[in-house]
Amino acid sequence: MTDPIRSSIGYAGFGDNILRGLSVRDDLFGKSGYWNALSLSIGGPPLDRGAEAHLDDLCVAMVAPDPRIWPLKVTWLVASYGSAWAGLSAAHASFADAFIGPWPTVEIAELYDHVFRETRGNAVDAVSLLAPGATRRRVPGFGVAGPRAVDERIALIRDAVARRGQSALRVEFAAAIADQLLRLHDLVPNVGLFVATALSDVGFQPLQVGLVVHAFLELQVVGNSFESASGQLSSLQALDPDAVHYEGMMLRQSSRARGEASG
Amino acid sequence: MPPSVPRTGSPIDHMPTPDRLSAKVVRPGARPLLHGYDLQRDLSVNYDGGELALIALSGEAPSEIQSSRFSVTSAFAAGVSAAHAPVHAALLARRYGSRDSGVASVAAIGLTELARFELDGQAELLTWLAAGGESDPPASAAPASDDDAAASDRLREALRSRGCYDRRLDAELGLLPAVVTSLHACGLTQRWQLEAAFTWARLPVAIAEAMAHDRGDLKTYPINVPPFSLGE
Repeated sequence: MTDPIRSSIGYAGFGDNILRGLSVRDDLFGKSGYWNALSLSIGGPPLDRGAEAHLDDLCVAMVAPDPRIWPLKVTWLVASYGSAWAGLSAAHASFADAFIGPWPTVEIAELYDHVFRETRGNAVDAVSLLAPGATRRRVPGFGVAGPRAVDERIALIRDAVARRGQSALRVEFAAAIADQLLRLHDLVPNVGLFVATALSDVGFQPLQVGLVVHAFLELQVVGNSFESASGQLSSLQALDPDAVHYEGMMLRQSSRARGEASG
Repeated sequence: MPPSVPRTGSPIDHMPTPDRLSAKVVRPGARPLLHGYDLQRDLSVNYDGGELALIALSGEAPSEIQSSRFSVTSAFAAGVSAAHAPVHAALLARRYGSRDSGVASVAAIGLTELARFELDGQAELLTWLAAGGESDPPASAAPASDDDAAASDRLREALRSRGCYDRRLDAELGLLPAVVTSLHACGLTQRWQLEAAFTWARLPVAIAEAMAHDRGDLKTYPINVPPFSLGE
């Protein structure tokens, strides 16, 4: 007999549903919002309305809906045959291990939490651990795409943190590191550094950080997928021949076509 | 709502970027080449569907021995049933009314995950194969049961009957490690090639099982299989 799968995520009751031991009807509905329910579902910290408002701010600060941004372009391509759902699935399937999207924020949250503990929050010591060198070619949380001097979303994230008015040790730590790495190594921080550390400050563990960032990004994936599916554009379904350059093998005959035995 | 802001420049407009997409495996157009082979005039008449998959994955038209080996091994890789999560998921999607392409998508995602998971578990075997497979195989590749050993023997027998046995299969291997070893001997030595070969072999099987279930039939679906224990 198979052992039952143990889960505490919740269950369907009679007249109510239970999420992590809480009644949807009596404990959650009207008392808390989406972000608290999401946090509960992934085993994160309970979020009061203030923390939820903070996550709202972080979410909106992250909005970058340009359909040319790579994962969103994947969504457009796959949704171009008319299914927004397929476009969503494609974007989601592409996220694991990708260096864009929610995945890097897991590594960032892990790394900066580790370095914060290791250096007791001393940014100078942290820079010596993080700086690019023989063992580290790339510093997680640094590097922006395109001709931008700064990642414009960082100012909004930092404003959201300031407006929350609560302790933000990891964001301040990240900011101090960013200042030094910019000055010493010309490394430009990206939004991943600040959103990951802001969520760590709220109390999320690294994997949970990635899942919350996924939820942040979902609105632009949904919007792009919906628009592509609505348009069903032939220009996406098949590129104009002039837009593709073949650089593979030139015509050759197989051994069977040449009438040769092939072992 | 405030009025829309006027369109400004975008950093993406100014990114240094090529103006054409490169194609590296298939020549686009009405007469496509696959790794340089004419699909319509050469591969279509000289190779079967399985061989076409092997050419796509390996980049070269296979030898007769490689073709036979891939054909036999694919059959042993293909045996996923309703008991396996990707097929279970796909048939469940079918039962709750997903469109056909949605059922196939669920199967495909599940099967790529299954292949990744299985090959993660064969890391020691892959290292052994990359080193030539001359020494004793890792203990993790040994058969997990008598049934597993018997299935490996059936693979060996089938390969011998087609004259495409690889001597590395002399080692004591469970079925999955034996299939991986045989695919490796087909020239599929990279992780992505092996993952793709497993997915290719299994996808039609999974879709067929899913589509054999009645669309919309949730009443006969065993919702409590496997059992869950829910609560704090």
